[in-house]
Amino acid sequence: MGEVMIRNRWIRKFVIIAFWLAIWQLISMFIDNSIVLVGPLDVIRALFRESITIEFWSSILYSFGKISLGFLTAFLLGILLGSFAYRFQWLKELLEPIIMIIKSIPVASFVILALIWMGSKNLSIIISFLVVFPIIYINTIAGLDSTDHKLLEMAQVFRIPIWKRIKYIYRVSLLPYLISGCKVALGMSWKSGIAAEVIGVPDKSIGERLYMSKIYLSTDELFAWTVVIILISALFEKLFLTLLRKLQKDREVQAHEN
Amino acid sequence: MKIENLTKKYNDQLVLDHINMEFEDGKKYGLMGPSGSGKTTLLHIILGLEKADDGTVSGLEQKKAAAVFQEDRLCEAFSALENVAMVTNELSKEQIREELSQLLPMDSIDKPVKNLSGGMKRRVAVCRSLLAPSDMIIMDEPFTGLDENTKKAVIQYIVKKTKGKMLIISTHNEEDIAALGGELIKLDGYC
Repeated sequence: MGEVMIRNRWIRKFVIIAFWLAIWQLISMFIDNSIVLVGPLDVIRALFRESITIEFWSSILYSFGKISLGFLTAFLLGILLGSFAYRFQWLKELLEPIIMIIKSIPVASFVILALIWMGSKNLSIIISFLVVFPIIYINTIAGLDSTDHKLLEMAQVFRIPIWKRIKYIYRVSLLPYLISGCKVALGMSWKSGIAAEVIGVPDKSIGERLYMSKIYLSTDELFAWTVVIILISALFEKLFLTLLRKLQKDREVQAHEN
Repeated sequence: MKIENLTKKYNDQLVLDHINMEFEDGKKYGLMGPSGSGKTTLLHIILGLEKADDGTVSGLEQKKAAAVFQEDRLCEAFSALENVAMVTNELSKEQIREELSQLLPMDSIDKPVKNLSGGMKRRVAVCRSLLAPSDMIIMDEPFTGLDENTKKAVIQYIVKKTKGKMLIISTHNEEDIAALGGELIKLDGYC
């Protein structure tokens, strides 16, 4: 019964996707202009054409490395500073204006400032860091604030060392907030990182390839690269969230968070 | 441990009014009193979780405390074994398992505590307090939710594990204090 339902669900999903791909193909055939809109078949052809070149893979590696580095640095620093800010009120107050500024300044302004200050080479690292950091920082504080104070009193009475408090008490409260934060931050890091590359046009990046496809009006390549970005972003998100969920002991909290 | 002139108010309501008590190392004490007589407040002050408005508690400086709280205060996502292991480094996992098996069915020891019944959780909380390294154990109504037979087993276990330790237990039942061999202290205004 369960297996049949799952199979039906997959069939339904497949039919829905096929329906929209068919609509897309029909519209592109109706417009009949490969600069304005290409169909899914053209995108697959462009994707195949690109994927057999070394430049394709080196561009993916370049952008993936830079954006992931920005994300991971922001993730670790956000947890570290968020934990200290939770512990020391003065630090929280000290960092508040900086977090507010990072949150409110448009990404485009950051991109231009970073370009002027540091050039285009590490632009996507900086931009993905700046987008992710406040999300992780704020979620870390919120997660730690949600810790059951009665359990903390218990830990105080039993003199439980800090590493055990982290493992048994703080981790359970923090992880659902971190997972929610990461769901937003992972997608945003890729969107903003690639947008920064399109503006800064660093050599051998996905952003450069997107920029070139605009210059040469290669809409099929533009769509192909967009598909690549979506796939890498989704893969990275899946991998990272799976790792986080492995750290999450309480499956009920996990289910609630989902 | 000496309590002198201890006073505590909540919103102008006097909960503890100039309480004076003395507790000796290695002895057991049963705290009794009607609801609202300040038993939990007194135990919280001894544990350092609340501050008194006036008066002192002395003789706690060198004491390691362990406690059963009015609520279980267990880490629900973790097993009974892990809940005990988190408060002690002195026992191996096998020793903890052996101890827990005296109060709990074997197949419940490795299950997340959230899947256990109320009575089982209470026994885990009692076991945790008794296996933690301590000189003084505070128990706030530890028999809540236990049936008579289980309560007897828990009392026997408490007696066995608290030899040479100070035990202060709050309960509504005078027979429990007698079974533990404790000295009765009434918190109804005349102590």
